[in-house]
Amino acid sequence: MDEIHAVADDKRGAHLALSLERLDHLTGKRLTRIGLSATQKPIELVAHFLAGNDRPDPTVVQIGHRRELDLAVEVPGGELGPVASNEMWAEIYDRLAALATRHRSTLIFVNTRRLAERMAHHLAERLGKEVVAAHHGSLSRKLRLVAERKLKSGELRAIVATASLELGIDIGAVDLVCQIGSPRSISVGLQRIGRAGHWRGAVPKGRIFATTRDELLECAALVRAIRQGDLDRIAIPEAPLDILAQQIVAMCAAEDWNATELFRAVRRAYPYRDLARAQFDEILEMLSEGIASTRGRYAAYLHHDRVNGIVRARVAAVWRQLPAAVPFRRMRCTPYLRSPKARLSARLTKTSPSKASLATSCCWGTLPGESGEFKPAVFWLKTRRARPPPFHSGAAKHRHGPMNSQRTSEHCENKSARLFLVRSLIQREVAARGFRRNELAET
Amino acid sequence: MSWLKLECGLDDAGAEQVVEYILAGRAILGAVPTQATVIRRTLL
Repeated sequence: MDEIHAVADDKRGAHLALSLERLDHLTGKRLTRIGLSATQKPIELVAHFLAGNDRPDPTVVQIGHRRELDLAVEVPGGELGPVASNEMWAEIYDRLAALATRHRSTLIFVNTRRLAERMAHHLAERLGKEVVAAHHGSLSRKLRLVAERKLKSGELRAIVATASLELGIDIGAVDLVCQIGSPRSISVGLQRIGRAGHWRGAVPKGRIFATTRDELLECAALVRAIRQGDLDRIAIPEAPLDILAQQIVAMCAAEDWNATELFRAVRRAYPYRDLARAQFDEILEMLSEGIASTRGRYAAYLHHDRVNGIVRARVAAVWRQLPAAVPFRRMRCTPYLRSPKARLSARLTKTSPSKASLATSCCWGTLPGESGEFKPAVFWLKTRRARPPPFHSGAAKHRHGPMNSQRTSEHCENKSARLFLVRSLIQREVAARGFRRNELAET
Repeated sequence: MSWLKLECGLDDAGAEQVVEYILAGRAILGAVPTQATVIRRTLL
């Protein structure tokens, strides 16, 4: 398993750990697991995560190699404010264009897909359309492959990317990485800047652009943390129950299980090592009894034979586990537990009801869909269409804990202003939809 | 300022703005928010 660190710290990791145990169960063997991870603190935790629970600790081969980095924060000429003005953005584009012409190829990381597109457009105006490309997860695979090929062959002067170019792909002779705004965590910053200078003896060169005063502090803290060799502390989520429920349905759809054996199998996965039997039984009960609603019970996927302790899948579960896609990254999801009428449902982020509306395209794992009927806090996915999802909400991440200890701090005023904005957006939305007051309370 | 430039990879203008921002914040709020100091502002 390559790049474990990228999934270990969120629910996708829990999904993966359970899938690995299922794989062992299916093959009837204890397959050898080999994992590759970026430097993490503590590396032993990643090792335990890989091995699961009833196996011996894995051997950790640590190269313990720290690369020299050429790092600096770029500040625009004018004074920074709470938000970046258009003039400031123009200045940033000019500076980026100047840097790009002085280097062979430049990789520019931004935090949102929208900004990636905007920036690629502005840079193309300055450098020429053929030598600039955008790259993010919402672009079609074909467009992304074209951009990657051009980058490798050195046809591009600059490529603007989101996290999509962070991992894996061999990206050729990039000699400068620019990060726009704060990458929000040390490991992301390190990973991104480490994409530069992939040849022998090269020193990766990174320039971090601050666009607001708050970001300036964060960027300064980031550079200091990297120079001090400080790393994010990895936190593996403890037993996410939504993923567990999803996997239990999938496991039972494949074959009948003895409840105790099922419990044991689940506990072998690292995130579920401390799962209590009572909690597991509650999940089984929910999945077998269904969820009560005004329209009657729904979402009863399993049949639990308590006399013999056998768990079987109901017909609904058998085909429903097939599109059991990988859960969203850092997004609340209640995988197909609350889906009406045999459709997939996705619970969007808390703020989404104010931003998304009917017929907003969104993505369920790899399947694009469209939001249909609106219920408080939940959009039911209506259709699955073959068009690319332009729904970019929640693309940027929150600041990661350890960066806070680098003595950065968000300006209070800024925060309350944001809160106020969210509130007024919701109020406007409520007025537009004509919700009653109690419905709002439920959301 | 020289510490900021040395440790945090900032240039003159950047270091100056960091110092100004924190000082301005302290002047308004009475303290600098940190991991140990939370400054609460009541809304509305």
